[in-house]
Amino acid sequence: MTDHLLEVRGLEVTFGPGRNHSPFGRRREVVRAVDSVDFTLDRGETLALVGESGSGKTTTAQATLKLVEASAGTIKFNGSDLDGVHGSRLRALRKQMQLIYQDPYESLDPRYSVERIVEEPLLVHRTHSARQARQERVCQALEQVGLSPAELFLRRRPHELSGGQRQRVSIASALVLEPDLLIADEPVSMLDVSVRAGILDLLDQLRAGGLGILMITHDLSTAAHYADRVAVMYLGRVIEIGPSRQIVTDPQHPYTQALLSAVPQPERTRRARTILGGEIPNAAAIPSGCGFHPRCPIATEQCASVTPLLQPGRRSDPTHEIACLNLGG
Amino acid sequence: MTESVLEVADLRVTFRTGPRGTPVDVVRGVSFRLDQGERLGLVGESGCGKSTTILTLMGLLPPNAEVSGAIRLDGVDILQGGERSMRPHRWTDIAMVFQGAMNAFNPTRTIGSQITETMRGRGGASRKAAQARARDLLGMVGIPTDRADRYPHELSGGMRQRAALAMALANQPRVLLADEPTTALDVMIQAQIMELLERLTAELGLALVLVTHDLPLVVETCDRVAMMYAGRLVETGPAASLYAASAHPYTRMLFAATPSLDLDRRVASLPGAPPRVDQEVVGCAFAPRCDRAETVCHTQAPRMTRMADQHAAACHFADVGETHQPLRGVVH
Repeated sequence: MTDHLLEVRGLEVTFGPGRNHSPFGRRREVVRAVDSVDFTLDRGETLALVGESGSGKTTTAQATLKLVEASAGTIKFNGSDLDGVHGSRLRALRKQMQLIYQDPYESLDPRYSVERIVEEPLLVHRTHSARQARQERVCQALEQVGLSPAELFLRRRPHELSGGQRQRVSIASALVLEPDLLIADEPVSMLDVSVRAGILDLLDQLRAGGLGILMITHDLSTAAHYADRVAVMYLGRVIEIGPSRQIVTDPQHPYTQALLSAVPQPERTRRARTILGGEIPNAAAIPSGCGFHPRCPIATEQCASVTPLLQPGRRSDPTHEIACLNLGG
Repeated sequence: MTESVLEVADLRVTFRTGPRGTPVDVVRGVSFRLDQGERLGLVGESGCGKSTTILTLMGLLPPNAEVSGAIRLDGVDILQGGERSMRPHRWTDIAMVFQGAMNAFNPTRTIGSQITETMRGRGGASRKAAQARARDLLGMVGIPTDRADRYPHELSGGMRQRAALAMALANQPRVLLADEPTTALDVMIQAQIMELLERLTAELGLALVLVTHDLPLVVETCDRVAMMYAGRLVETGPAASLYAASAHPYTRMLFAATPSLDLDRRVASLPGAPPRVDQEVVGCAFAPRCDRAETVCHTQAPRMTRMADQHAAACHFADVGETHQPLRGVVH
């Protein structure tokens, strides 16, 4: 079991109250953003974390990179435990795990040229001392993301690029250090529909080339098309995880079913589906038992007191796991 | 033929920009009509002119915009007389919901007082009557009426968009323009808001123009769709026909670029980018990205041609139905 690229066990992230006093004097409540999250990611695999705003998917990714401190759990990356790793060792590990941000309009420094932006990680990690070598590596990365010929883009600044090209620059600056893990936080949600598929195809090529990709998205259609496996999150927990096709064609958890039902589909009129009422509750006031029980159409009495754990469903595939007390009921 | 609530004919918008007032054509001849209770989806990529089109209908363009064409409300042109003829209809006959519900409200005042204000500003209602109506409106859009005393930051994104909708409906408009009303919202909340919009248009006989880049959403929600590209409409027709029998390659290719839950359908990205607004277009604006373009497409602009009942496309190689006749002026 040590050959996973990334292995996350029992991850928990809480915020406040600690020193986070509000300026208005009221003490903040404890927010449990991520709770008991387990997953693995292999090389050459894409895992999508899917959920609504506030479901904890971004915090999970940030904790994986140690950008926020986990309050419990273990994260193993390339065989090494990230717990207690600091300073230069952490920096060496982070070199192998890179993040792509959602908004290429915000994430690129407008004053820098494309070359400077993509070169930055090389300078930070001091990997190439010769300027010539750095420029060669930058060009390779640009060609890799389809900005070809690279020489044409080196001198440009972000405002001279389209949204799709900007996101490619952002991916190039993640790839320039030749990482093993890429975390893509909503990589296409700010882009026009017409260019999204191009960026997602690029990520898929990188995956096929051996990268492990953790993709964060609220869009189940995108997740289903471009990820090998999907983990659906609700209020900080993974409530269903399994192969993409199974999640989409045979969803087991009532929340996954509701989420799928809300995806617009041209083949169907809205009247033909059930839309779940209400909204995802505040993470500072998570309901007892199964967090979904107040909105769940099949909740029973025990759902309010017992927290369900992920377990294989009744179907044959043991990799399809669901956290629900009323499975197949 | 029933009388249209709103009829837009050959609408053109040009912005004068830069120190020398260089003209930039953003909307290049858009025509459509809208019946009572009808839902029209206006679809296109960023920069195609869809938002400018509906801002023109509201008379909310900046001073450097030059507008021509006609906007007929119940058969009467309200564009001709400029701001003086637009103003009496803004928010009373034609209302709008914006993309960022976060920014639609003043953060320092309660939701209820802001909805009340839109009615009081028109002179009609007394304070008491306006307050009562504000509560009714909140109830109508699914917000518990006691939230009238809350401030915008105390509501979730979905609730704020509902409140924005209540505010737009305050003066009983007949046409509602919605500019990407759910883009910033989660899919579950989006479904709730769309369901609400459907119910309101049906119950109030409200005509809706839904501006979005989300094709599946539009096909599911709207009766008719108008596809917009580089300032022009390139295909209009019943939503179901546009999906099942896209006549224009742009429509077909945009559908193909959108991931759906049908995993057996391959997602294919649309190559290239739309022409820049300051770029002169010769022939069909879509030709450089089109998988069916031939020589004629690069030299001659295609005209809107009727494919079938209510279904028209501007393409030299559109799949032409039996009623093959060019349309002039209004496309419906």
